Amino acid sequence: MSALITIDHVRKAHGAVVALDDVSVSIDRGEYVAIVGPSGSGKTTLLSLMGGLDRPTSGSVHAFDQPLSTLSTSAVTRIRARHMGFVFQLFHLIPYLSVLDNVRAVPAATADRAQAVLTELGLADRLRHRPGQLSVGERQRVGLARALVSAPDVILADEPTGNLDPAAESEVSRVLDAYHAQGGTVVLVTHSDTMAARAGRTIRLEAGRCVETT
Amino acid sequence: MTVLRWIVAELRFRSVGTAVALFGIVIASAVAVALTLFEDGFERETRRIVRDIGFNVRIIPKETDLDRFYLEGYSELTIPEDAVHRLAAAGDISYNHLVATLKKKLTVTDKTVFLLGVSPTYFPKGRKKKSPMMFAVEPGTAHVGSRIAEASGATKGGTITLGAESFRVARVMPKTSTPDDVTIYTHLADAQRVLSLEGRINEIKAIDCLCLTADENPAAILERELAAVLPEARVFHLSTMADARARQRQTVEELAAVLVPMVALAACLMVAVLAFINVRDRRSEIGVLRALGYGGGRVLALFLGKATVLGVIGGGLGFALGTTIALSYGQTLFELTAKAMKTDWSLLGWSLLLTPMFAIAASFLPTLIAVRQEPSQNLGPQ
Repeated sequence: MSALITIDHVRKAHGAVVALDDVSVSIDRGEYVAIVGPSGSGKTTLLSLMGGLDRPTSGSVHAFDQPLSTLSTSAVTRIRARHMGFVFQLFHLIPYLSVLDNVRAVPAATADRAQAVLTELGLADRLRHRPGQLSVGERQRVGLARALVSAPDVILADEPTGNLDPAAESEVSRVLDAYHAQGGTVVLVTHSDTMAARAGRTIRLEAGRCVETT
Repeated sequence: MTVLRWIVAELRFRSVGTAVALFGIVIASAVAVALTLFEDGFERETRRIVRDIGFNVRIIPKETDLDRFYLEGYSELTIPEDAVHRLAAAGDISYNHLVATLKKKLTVTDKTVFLLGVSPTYFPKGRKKKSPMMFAVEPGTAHVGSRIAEASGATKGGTITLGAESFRVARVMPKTSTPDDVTIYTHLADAQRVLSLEGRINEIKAIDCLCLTADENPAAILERELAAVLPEARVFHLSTMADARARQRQTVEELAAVLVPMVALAACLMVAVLAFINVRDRRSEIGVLRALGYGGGRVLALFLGKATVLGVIGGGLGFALGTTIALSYGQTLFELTAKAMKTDWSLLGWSLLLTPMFAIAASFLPTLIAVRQEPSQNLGPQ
């Protein structure tokens, strides 16, 4: 397997606070990786660097054979649009757009493709609803549909089940498993042992350092 | 999805926020429109007031005996009527509202009165024509002072004999307790004929130009200009009257100079604060859009597009509100020129142009800052 994303001796500091310190990891194509660790250990920061949502203070980040840490903002944006899908703990759906439009909002998405993905996720009767009219589990399924609609090479999910009940968590797991089974790469930040257990590899962070990879 | 559809969806969803933002923009626009109309009205009213103060420049024959001039109120000497045309033709002078007059004493029904012939008003070449400083006198008519009317029994529509000619009484002037009460106004040509002074005048009345600055000596400038054009005449500058006129105009200009920038600044701040709050409240949305793969241009288009939509609607409503306020109160405030307070449709164009530009300018910086930040900073804590 070839490395899709490589983090090499990365340090990320927010002022005096060091979020990540000399972290080196790589994600191979087709992997299912869980990033775990206590709160404040740098999990979300690491995921953001992998997705080009942030830049390291030092060290390098490569994704899809491109140096994300030194590319222009617009070049990184294009890589994200072409290769990556994001799922957030707080969903980050656009509140004034309908479910269908939230998924169609992805640059590469078409209306038919968006509707098909939403139907596959059991949201066919919610297409015209706004996010505020959905249950928490439904909102995260919309978030998943938005991540999947462009058929990305990798899904970067930050605590996707953090606000969900067990049934909804199970549904999210099922969707990610199915995506992985079709050859997709999943990088998941989670506090859930159940979710972490589904991953093929676990990266453990503590106080901004990578302490274990299993 | 088109940018406009996004914008409309957002405006509809955040209806309360939209209403508040729109309200702010409408108020800012309305205040600007109303203030402009008020300023115009104020200036118009001021012009009218200072016009009513009267002429403050008197041009008389140079060799006039000043003792007699002050005693009699007019010069015994005359100059050619052509003088007023030469002065008007000079163009670049500090005189305006030129009226040639011929004033002499005359006996009417055993009473000595002033006969004052007045020409039409002439404006210097290239100068914008304004409403005349004094009433017009038609040929063949007379405007009769109140004391003369009492003594002679002249009434409006009747006739009065001056020398060998009869004139129709156009009106009996109200009592003023000034020499006007013993004055008969006729057209200049009529007075010249009655007095056998065809083609002659003994005074040109005018007002000075308000273009003169405070550090200049108006009398000296007026004298210098007159010497070049009419060397046979001399000028008197009625400084008290001129000062009152200048002070009134200056007050308006100073008020406008302070008030307009203050209101503009307040409106600017209001729209800027609203734009800042809008961007701040939508930072996570900016982060999501960037995470999804949208470039900064699309995000700017969404936010500045919203500012444009709100600016156009706010500008239109602000024009309507501002005009309504100005017309409602302006006609009470400016009694002399109430009828001149009208809708200024050119302000609609300016309002529709400037309000969106202003809203865009106010939104641009906070949006640009948000766009230039890394998406993770806008997405906030997870």
